[in-house]
Amino acid sequence: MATIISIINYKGGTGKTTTALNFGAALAKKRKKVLLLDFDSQCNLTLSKGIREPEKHIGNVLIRKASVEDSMLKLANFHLVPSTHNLLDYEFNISNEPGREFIAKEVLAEVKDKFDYIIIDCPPSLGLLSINSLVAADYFIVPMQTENFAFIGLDSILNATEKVKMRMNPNLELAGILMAKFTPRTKFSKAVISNIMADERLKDKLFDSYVRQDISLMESPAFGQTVFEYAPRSRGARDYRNFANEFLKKYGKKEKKN
Amino acid sequence: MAKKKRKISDIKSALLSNTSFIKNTEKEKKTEKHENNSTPEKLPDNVIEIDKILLSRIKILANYYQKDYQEIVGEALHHYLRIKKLDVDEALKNIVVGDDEE
Repeated sequence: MATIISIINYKGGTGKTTTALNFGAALAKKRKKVLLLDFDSQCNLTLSKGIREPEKHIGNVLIRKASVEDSMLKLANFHLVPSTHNLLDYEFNISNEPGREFIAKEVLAEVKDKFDYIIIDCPPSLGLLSINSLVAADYFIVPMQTENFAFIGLDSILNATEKVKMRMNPNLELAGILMAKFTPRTKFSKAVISNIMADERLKDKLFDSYVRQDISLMESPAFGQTVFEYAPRSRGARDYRNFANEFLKKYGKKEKKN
Repeated sequence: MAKKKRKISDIKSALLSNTSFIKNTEKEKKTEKHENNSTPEKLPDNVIEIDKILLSRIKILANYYQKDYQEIVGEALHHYLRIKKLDVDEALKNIVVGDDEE
């Protein structure tokens, strides 16, 4: 059964898509069966693999016109259900449906046994799509930069996830906070980290590994590649590899020995 | 105007002023512990306790002057003792004059 992970932050530009793509690719390199879902109408995850205006997309899955299995594209190392620029229309379409928060959970149940990890790249909002991802997820990861608005974004997400946990998904757990585009030496970074560590509920939730600023992470999606395909020896590749190792160590399922 | 230098503690409190979920629970714990401790701590003879409100105002002033608050407290104490020294000198003078008159 797949572990479903939602990559979420209320603020845009915190490294959600970069994390979804390269964390997914890092897991796939470890021979895990990975499915990525693009829940953002900006389609950044979809575009980062060079896919433009796909016929099959998550919108049709959400309105139950197509299944996840029919809508996923097989890429080199993993599968991807792309997004569409009209995704907000589809979101509006389901906004009056009873149990609308549970649609993603329902549709993903159909493919859960085919993958090890299902990773959802969320939009930078707390709308119906983000809530759907949290209701379906086992874990959520919050990528953030050490800056003011990302810190407020983290706070908003934690508030929202508490409610989702209480009302709709008691199994939801914060896997951790991942520092992206991280510059550890500044006073501001130290203050952000120190505030997170000072909160009893969060002090064990900061991943030891972090992702440094790296040009390869910026360039690779422009060429439709993951950082491992584009620059396998780059800092970005190393950082995401370390992060995937740490995640698997903490939350990975034990492999069966034959 | 030159950029005002901030301490990490200033940045930390500024960041927490915008959050509702994330809190400094360590600080809360310490405060709780302090409140639960019913017997007041006995201070050593050469130490004085500064009123909490006064101290917080001194800290604000120190931040404004970009100085350490202990430096401000030291300066204030120095100023106070200098005035007291003048009083003492005046009193000594009076005592000496009074003695001569006798």
